[in-house]
Amino acid sequence: MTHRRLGPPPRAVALLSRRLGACAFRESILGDLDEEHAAITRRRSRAAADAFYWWQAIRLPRDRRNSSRLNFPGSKPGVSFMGDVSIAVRQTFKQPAHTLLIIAALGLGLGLNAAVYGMGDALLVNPFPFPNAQRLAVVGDKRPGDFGNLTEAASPANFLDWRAQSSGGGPIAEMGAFDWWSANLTGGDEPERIQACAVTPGFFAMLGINIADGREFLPGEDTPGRHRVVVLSRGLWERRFGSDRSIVGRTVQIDGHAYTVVGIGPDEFSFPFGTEAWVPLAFEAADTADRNSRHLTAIARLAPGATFDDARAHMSVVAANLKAAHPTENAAFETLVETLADGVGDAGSATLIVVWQVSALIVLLIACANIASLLLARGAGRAREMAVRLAIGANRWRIVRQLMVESFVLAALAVPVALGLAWWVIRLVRVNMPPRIAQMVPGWNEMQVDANVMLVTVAAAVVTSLLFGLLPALQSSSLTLVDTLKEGARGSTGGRMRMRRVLVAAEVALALPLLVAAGMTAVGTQRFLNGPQGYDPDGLLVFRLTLPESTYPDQTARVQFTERAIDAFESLPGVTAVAATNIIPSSSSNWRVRYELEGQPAATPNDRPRADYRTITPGWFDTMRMPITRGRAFTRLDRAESQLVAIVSDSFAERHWPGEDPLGKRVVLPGDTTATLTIVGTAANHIHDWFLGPHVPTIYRPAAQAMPTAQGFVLRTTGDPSSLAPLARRALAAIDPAQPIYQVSTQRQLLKERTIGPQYAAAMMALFGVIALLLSVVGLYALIGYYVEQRRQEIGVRMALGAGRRDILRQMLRQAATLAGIGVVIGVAAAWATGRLLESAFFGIAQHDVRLLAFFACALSAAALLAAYVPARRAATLDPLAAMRE
Amino acid sequence: MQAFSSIGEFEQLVLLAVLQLGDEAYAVPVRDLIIARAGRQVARGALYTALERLEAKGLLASRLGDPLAERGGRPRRYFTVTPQGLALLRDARAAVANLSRGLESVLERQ
Repeated sequence: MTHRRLGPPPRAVALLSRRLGACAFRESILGDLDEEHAAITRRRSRAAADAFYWWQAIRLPRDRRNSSRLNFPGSKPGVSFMGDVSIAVRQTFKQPAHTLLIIAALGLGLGLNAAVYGMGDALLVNPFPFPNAQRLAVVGDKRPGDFGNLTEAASPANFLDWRAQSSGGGPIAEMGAFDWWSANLTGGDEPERIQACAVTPGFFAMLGINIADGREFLPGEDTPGRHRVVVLSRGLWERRFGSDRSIVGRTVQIDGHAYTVVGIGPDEFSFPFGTEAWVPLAFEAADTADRNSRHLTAIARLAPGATFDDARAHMSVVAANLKAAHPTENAAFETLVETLADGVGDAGSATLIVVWQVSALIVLLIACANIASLLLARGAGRAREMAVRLAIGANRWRIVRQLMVESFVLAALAVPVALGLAWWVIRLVRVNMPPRIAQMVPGWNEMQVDANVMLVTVAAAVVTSLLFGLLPALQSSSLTLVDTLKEGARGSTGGRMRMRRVLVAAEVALALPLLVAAGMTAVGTQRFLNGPQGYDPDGLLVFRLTLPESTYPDQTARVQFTERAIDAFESLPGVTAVAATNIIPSSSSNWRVRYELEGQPAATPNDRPRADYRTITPGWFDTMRMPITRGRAFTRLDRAESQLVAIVSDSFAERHWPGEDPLGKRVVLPGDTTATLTIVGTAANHIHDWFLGPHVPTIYRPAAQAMPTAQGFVLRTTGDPSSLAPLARRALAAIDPAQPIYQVSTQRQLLKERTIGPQYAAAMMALFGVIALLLSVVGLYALIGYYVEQRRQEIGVRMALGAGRRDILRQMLRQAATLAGIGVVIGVAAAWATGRLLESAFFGIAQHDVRLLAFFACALSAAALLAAYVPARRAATLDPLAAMRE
Repeated sequence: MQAFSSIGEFEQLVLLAVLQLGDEAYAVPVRDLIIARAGRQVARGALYTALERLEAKGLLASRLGDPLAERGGRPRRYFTVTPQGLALLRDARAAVANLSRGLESVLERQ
């Protein structure tokens, strides 16, 4: 008896049998389906039968469960939590427009918060992508009250003492330091300026970074003579050396010296600040005694179990010893210990992020008010349902719970929208930052929507849904049947409408400060970018070059090179004037000196006044179009061997000789070789740093008398300055083919990059402001629209009794104007206060301005009235007869 | 009357179909019959739930038949209506008949 049966697909059988579980009917159900399978196979086809069986495997158990839940007591929908959820989901899709509006508002609010949180998380909390970042401290000296972080805040001698006195097994396990360095890399097709960094041996291990290809620096490689070794960043190795692994062990030319490549850094690692090559930090004998030039950044790794406070306590003892031993150099400073994020992070970011986060929270609050108002309206439509349910015995908690679940469902739907928006905002923020600024901001490239951001967004969504859901839920659950039914078709209660009015007025009041803040930053930024700079920034090509001491050992060689270069650039077509300086205006670096005035009592070194210090070639003022206000400009006759001269800015003259003629006065620059400079002219003020403004005293010296190794060149051109860059490169190569130029840009670009922070601040604030405006206007629109809907009959009656269309329109607009007015009045007060706060937070950028406040107050009121006008017009054009019949 | 209140319309249809089918009343023909005569769709899952519940209420009894090769060696479960089930159907029918009296002109209208 070899009966071969073609049964249903075994996997479907297994699935069905598993899903049926241990029920008494299981065998007979499986048998029945087998039978039907066989019948369908006969009647139609085997494939159809198999499809039928699969479908039943999925459907049958579900139908069984559903039909039993519907009828067995104790499992009715609406009683269990999941029942509430399913009701909520259905409710949500019953009014799609309403729901979409809520999800959009909530998504905007949550998304902006998520974006700012993501930025803050990357920039402030976890800016460094290496393992030991949380256990690293930055140690540095700071004058009390000085602004800035702890980079370049350790002198070599102090650092060596700190390290020596911390090696005894205390809270600091090890210490290292780095010194920022940029160098000329030669030996390829074109010389190149690279961002390099000198680090103490053991630096990589201290950060938790393992050099996989090759090794890091060995102890002893920090002694002069053995220090010509280099670790390349992965990026530089790929770009410049074609990912050639055999480069390890070979030599490369850096600043004219041969360095042996000993290793290649891991992927994406470029600490600190976009470093492309690391060399050992070698201390010369003179360095080890230097306590004054604080150009190192000292990093300490905490011992296991030690806290930052332990390290602070330890360092305060060490610092007190050093202060006692070397009072001249250390007395004015305190030695601080900060986390890596605080110590080398961008000092400005924190303020910016805080301001943004607060703004984003305000937007979220407005969104909440909006949603609460919409839910109140929806609640009005369901008032009778709720009242009846309460009357027939549903308890209040059940109703509140169900409505709260509806809020949760809305919040859950908004979370993906929010995360999408956050992703988009962060991407925009990242993409629009020039790379050379981005690499300077630790954590910039780590900004993303990660698990952390998602978690916070979900948490925020839950909290928010409580915020916007509770009020309408409590309102709905406190209804009494009689009152509600008496309301008749209108279904709305006075309390609900009153609450909505308060919410809408609050939205307007919250939106105004945001708008004003956005206006303040935008105006400030505009002034930064396009306001008077003290020179003409258009048509200027700028770039830098640094002359290696191996090729240009002395001042004469450097002066010769510079004069030849200027002559070569001047002969380029389209170039009208050329000059060189140590510091290009609005570049990120600065050079300041302490000085004394001849004939005035000498101050201690740390009490001498400071001024910006510029060395310039004779054509400087012409090229920049900066006016000489008194005396003369420099000429090529001002040479090293002639009288030492200076030009000072008007602000400098004003500071020391107000109302007097400064020409002929003498300024002393103390130092190894004290220079006494005779003032031969004054120049108009200009802005180097927008945060400091145009009144920073500045001393100019002829480059020929004080030639720096690093120079910035400015070329005044008649056409598009950037098109001249290749020509300038070629002209320079004719003089010295091994000399690279870098940071090539136009002066306009430089200004733009320099003010990128304010631009970002303004762009984000504008985003917040616009969304706040939109939300509050939509809120007002919805409220008036709803009001009109609810009052159609009443309006009809009034019109029948003789009220004109204009009366109706006026009445509706008066409603809106009252609300907007109350909102604006409160908002003006709030904007005034926040404006003051913003002024101190964004010092320099945002300036309080009554005109701005007035402008936005009017604009907001106008927008509000416009939003109300649409539904008000609808009311005024009602057909009274039709409305009354409804 | 207590039993009447605890039985739904669908369950009544199931009882009637089982009664109609006599000795051959197992799930597959029960479903076919309801579809054919009552003209309504019946989800298999819902039918099994109803059969189970009716048995639990004592309105149906069931027994297993012999294992059959065409069912993969599985038995059929045959149902019969119990005396309580029959009583309930009678009550229900009487109630409907009593309430319908005099409404012929309305109820039998096309």
